[in-house]
Amino acid sequence: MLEYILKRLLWFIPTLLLVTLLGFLLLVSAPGDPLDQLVPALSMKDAEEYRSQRAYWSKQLGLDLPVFYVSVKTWAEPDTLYKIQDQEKRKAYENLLRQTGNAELVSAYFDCIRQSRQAYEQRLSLEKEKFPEHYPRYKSRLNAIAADLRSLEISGDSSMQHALLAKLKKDEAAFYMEPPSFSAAIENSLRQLKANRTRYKNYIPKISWYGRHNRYHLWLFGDGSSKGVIRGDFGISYTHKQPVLAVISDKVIWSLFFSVLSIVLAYLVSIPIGIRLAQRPHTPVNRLVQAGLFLLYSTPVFFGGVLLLMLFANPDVLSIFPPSGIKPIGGYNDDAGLLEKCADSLPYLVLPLICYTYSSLSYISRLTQTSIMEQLPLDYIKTARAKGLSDGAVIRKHALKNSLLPLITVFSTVFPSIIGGSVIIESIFTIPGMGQETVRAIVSKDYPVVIAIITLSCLLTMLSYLVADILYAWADPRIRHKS
Amino acid sequence: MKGSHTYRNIRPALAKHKSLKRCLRALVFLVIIALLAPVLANDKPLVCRYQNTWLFPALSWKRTVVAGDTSLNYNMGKDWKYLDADIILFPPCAWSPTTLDADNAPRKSPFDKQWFSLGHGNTAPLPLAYRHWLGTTQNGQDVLSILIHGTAIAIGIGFASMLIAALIGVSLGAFAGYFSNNGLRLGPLQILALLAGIFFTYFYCCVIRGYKLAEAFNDGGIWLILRLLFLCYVALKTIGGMVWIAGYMERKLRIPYRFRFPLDTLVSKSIELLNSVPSLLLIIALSAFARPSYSLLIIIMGLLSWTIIARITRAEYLKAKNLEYVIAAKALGMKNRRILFRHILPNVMPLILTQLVFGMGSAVLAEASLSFLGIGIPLESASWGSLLNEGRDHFSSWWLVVFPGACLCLLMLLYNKTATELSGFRNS
Repeated sequence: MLEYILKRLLWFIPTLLLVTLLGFLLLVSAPGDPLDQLVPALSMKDAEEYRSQRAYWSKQLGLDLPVFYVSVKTWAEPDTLYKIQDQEKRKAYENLLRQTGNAELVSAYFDCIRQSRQAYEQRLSLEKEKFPEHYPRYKSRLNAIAADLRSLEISGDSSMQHALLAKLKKDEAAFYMEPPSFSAAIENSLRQLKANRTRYKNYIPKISWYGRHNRYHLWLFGDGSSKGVIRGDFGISYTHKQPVLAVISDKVIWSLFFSVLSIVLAYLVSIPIGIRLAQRPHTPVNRLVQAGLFLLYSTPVFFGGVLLLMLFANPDVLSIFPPSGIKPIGGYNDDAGLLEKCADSLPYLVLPLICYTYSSLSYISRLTQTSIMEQLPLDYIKTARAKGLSDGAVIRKHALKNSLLPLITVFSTVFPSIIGGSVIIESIFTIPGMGQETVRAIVSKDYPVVIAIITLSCLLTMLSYLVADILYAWADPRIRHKS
Repeated sequence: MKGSHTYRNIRPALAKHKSLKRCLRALVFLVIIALLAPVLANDKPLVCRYQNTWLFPALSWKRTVVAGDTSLNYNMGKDWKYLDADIILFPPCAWSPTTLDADNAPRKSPFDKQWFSLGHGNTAPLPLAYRHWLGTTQNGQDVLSILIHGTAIAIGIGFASMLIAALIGVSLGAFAGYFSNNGLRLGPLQILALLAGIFFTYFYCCVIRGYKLAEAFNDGGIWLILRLLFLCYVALKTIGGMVWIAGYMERKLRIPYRFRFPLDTLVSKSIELLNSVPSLLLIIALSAFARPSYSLLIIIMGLLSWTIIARITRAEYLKAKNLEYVIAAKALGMKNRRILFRHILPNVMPLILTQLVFGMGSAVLAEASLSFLGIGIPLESASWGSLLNEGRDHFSSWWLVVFPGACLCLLMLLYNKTATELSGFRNS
């Protein structure tokens, strides 16, 4: 037994690593720039503050680090590609790299554009100082040049570049005095790039090793400022700007409450039903019950939920229960005790509980029925009958124990669903639990929260499999000895 | 016909199983509805005679057509009903899911009076041929039409995702069960070739051409699945070919060493890992990453749901490999591939089919849940779940909840019943 558990625990470690890897992969491949969400451009009055905020968060999130311990790249790709924070510029860079395979000259080309932009900015401030009265007139032309430079920076397509260069030239020519010759330098560097193509480099693999200073390591194990996933730190929620766990922890309680209560209810109701059905499966009433259970089992939970709301929380039909939320509008009375709070909340809980319970109810009763019926023709049941036990005693004392094994599996699936919550039921009844939080996080692109929920629920599932396996081995010696 | 004898006994066996036969008939009926959806519910007429030209707009993919001396826009939506044609015959439901009928706009009940505007502010009662038999949505879309076209989505997604799941699950499960951990032995060169093959296919597909892959995923489209399947096929063939060449070289060079390839452990552990992934959450999260499309949904669901099929196939192959007919086939010197897919597969087919049908049910459910939540599906889509989603905000409009819900219930019932019957089919 001990050996079995140890073996299972040892297998747990690599799967744990894989699960975190999956979570991290999702986090990294999430679209959009996290900095744009953490530091909205509009909210900052000062460009300097905006830049420093971005730099701060970039450092915090480790965006200036390589993604993983190793990377497989093409020979042409430079080591420092991940340092280009601007997504559009990076795309253009990669595109150009694919066309030419010469990282040095591509970098030189982008440097040239950057220098031009700097020169342009200098020129702009100079104009403003020297000819303040002419400045408004030429501002639009100068801005056209700026726009050209920017679009040149983010375009990797060669025909597009030529068009943009032509436009830049025209805009420069329209300038009122001696044109600053940005276009010539850029065109020259582009020509050089086209002349020195080394496209074969795109087809040679290169494996580089980054060591411990990478984002995955930082995310998983943490460093000075963060504790890392392994110690329960999933980073910072983009919308709340709080640690993810703090955001989640308030929500778990409701999901926990509903999952546990509903599964206990489902077991309490469905095991007796299952036993009854197994005893006499062919009486008319039991057939009807079976058909009803089958129908319940096939009813999607969102249809059931909306139907319940439509029937029992609808002023047009029956308005017995409130349609949404979990407590009265305006909160509880201040001096209400726990019992009163429960009583206040009770009408809000009825419909969600029915919804949570009914699908697992039909599933568990069918499971109980079939697994008891599998036991009934076996020899030990015949022996028990031969001893003169009544039908009920045979099932209760002998068959039920042996048919409980599949029910362990069902019970072990409850705990993971606490973290995932029931996305659908919670969003129908607006219960502030994990499910609703997940939907909110996905809609508002709050990826750390999403990833935390997925990773945690993976971990919990693995744990519950472990517990179920140990329970199995404890309940059934055959499993223990086989392995 | 080679191999057809294995399935020769199906017809007489089906004749005995009346209820299974009924279920299959119902499924076929639904598939026919799904296939005929453009003819059953469309705002373009089936047949139309306009300016002495016969037109068949519902069956045409064209955008415009020249009839007589005018050019007709085929996608004119409701305007077809105002067309001054000699003969015009509409489908049984004269609306497309996307057509907006402004005259009956905010949620007309099936029993309400429905209107048809004649221009200049005049309205008349809607002719019976154009009636919204099951009411309209907030924007005036026809519910019946959405239901009919939604059938294609619901069934198509189930079939396609389970096709992917079956391809992966059956092959992995069969190999894992049949060879288990010590059936496959590889020489050192072969292991090298395997690793190199995996590395280079990864390098080519995901690094050199990675941008193409990303583009394809963002595009969605029907071809994405076929392209990916073809890509996987070529990749596997390449790796297989490299391993084969390595084996040939080993035989020539007489290298005696062989290592056991722990296929069973690999497959079992990946099943365990994938089973622990919360699939609905992952689908929602992933579809928030890329541009939502049905192809993406199908691929994700296929990739997440092969595990159950693989587990069952593996268990059955594990049992079957020690049975007499397999040993006999081996003794006759048959190739592994023939034994695996010609001899064992037909015997475990009913069990796999049971799981596939259950899986189709859960795929339908997943799609409906997503469209109910409004996440991860294309915006313009008209499926059963999206109707329910609208209905949940407007309780007074019962027809937005009851009809799609009943359809979903019926489809789930059908799938569950078929699966149950199929498992009984195997036992007898």
